[in-house]
Amino acid sequence: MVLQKADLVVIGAGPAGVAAAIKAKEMGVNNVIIMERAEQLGGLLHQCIHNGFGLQYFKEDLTGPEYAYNFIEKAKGLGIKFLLETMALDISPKREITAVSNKEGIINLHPKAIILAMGCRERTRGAINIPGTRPAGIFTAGVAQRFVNVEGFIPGKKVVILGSGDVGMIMARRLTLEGVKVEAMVEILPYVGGLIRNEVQCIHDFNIPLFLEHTVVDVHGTERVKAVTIAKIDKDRNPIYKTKRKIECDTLLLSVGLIPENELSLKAGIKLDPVTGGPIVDETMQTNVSGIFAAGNVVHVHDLVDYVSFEGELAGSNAANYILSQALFPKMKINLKAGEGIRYIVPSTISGQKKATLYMRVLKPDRDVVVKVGDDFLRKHLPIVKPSEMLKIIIPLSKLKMLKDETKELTISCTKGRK
Amino acid sequence: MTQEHEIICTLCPLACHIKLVSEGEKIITISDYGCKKGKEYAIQEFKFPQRVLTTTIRTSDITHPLLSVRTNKPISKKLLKECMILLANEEISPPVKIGEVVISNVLNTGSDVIATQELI
Ligand SMILES: Cc1cc2nc3c(=O)[nH]c(=O)nc-3n(C[C@H](O)[C@H](O)[C@H](O)COP(=O)(O)OP(=O)(O)OC[C@H]3O[C@@H](n4cnc5c(N)ncnc54)[C@H](O)[C@@H]3O)c2cc1C
Ligand code: SF4
Repeated sequence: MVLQKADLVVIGAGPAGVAAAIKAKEMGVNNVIIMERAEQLGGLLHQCIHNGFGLQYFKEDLTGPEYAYNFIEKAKGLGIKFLLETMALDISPKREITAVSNKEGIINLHPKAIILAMGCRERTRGAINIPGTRPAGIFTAGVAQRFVNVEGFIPGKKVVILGSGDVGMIMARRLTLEGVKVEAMVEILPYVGGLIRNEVQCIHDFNIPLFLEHTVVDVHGTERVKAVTIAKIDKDRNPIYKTKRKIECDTLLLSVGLIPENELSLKAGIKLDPVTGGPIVDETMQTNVSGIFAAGNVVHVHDLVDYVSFEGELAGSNAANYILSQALFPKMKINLKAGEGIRYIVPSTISGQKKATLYMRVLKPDRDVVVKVGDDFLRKHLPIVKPSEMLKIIIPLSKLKMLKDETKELTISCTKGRK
Repeated sequence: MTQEHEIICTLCPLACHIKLVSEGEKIITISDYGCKKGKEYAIQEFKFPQRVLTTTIRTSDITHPLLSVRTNKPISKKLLKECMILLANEEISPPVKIGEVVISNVLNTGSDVIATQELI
């Protein structure tokens, strides 16, 4: 058993973790360690070889590995210590970490602060209850992405993709370019789940048959997938059986959503938000456990990695403040509540003493809406909103100063309107 | 004979469905665009649609069998498949630096294929 010394331990070396560590180190925290269970740094970006990253952060159109490289090089230059092939197994509410490493065995750490940046994992077949047989050939889109982009083999020759999230669409293009036939993309909602750019450049460009308001109702084959049956759904999401059609294929890819990875957070006594599946955090990205912060997909699933990096930096700078001068922390006085049309808001509480940056998602796509904070405290007209595109609303400090002292809660809503 | 095309603009989240009417190669009218940038995009998409190709190249390193690459500029959409076939026959050996040109002026497009990872 090895006891490692550290002021700050970051768990997960994806974009959130690396950005957080850089920021904390730059602010003067001495001993910063990033712990990563994989054999390389960069998290999921490593396998996202397509472009579209960094438009906000670097004002440049980069691929995932290039985006990650910029941060990793910077982290190495600053002398941040990386523990690769090291998996955090347990965190106590007192910030004691137990991890296991390939090289050193069990490692114990007791840092002054922790940043959780474990990312998310994909929902699998079990999570969505697809009926039918259990043959080989059913993968999540992210696993297929790893096969094709990192390990060098294709998952099959004729593929049906269930779900139209970004990873699914990106894989539809990638597989088509590699000579695989993508027979269909099947989406239960009446609209595509991912970004419009991906719909055009991955689906339309390659004429991939898109079945909206459809789902997979049967999987055929015993050894290997032989076909799937899809059907249209009615208003209550029940399949309309007379619309059934069988599509021959050898592979079914699932792109049906991501779940924040929070088994560790629960062990530390951190409260999770039932809507996001991630820790409830305040405006400093601190969880309910003192000294434990969180950032990135572990908190809520992001569509753009740029925001993951910004969130990581926020957690990193606040963790640095916590370590260096605990007294500076303002009290969180105002709860933020998701009102009509809003699915969730991060953070859940703000101090009212600083400009507040809110990230949120709407419940359904719409045009011409007004996002309202409080009764009529702040309003913003938006020409278009979509559940797949995260909304960012900033409440300036000058506005917050106008709030009455006794204000304990602000409800945020998104309703139809122009003003 | 005129032909109607619908071009979805991807430049901003509004995703305007731009209508373009053409006669052969000639553009007759463009409508339903939300801004000037979108109009230019529609013209480009009609005349010469281009995309950045991102893919992988085989390596001689068994622990890292693939190197991720991209074209440093967009290339004609029509050439994507041909470019894939060309790259399928390539193999690269370490070391490769990130940003290093792997194939220059690929298929005479004026665009280079560059590494987006390093291979040590
Ligand atoms: C398959 C897939 C494809 C995606 N494609 C895109 C895309 O094209 N564009 C885009 O903008 N976003 C994409 N996303 C979203 C993407 O996840 C985020 O943009 C970004 O990678 C999130 O960063 P992160 O640092 O929060 O998490 P991650 O990148 O997931 O990093 C988390 C890291 O934590 C490590 N970890 C987890 N648990 C432990 C533990 N107990 N101990 C040690 N280490 C641990 C993991 O190994 C991982 O390296 C994709 C997501 C998925 C799942
Ligand atoms: S035309 Fe202009 S407003 Fe419309 S989607 Fe394109 S960039 Fe946006």
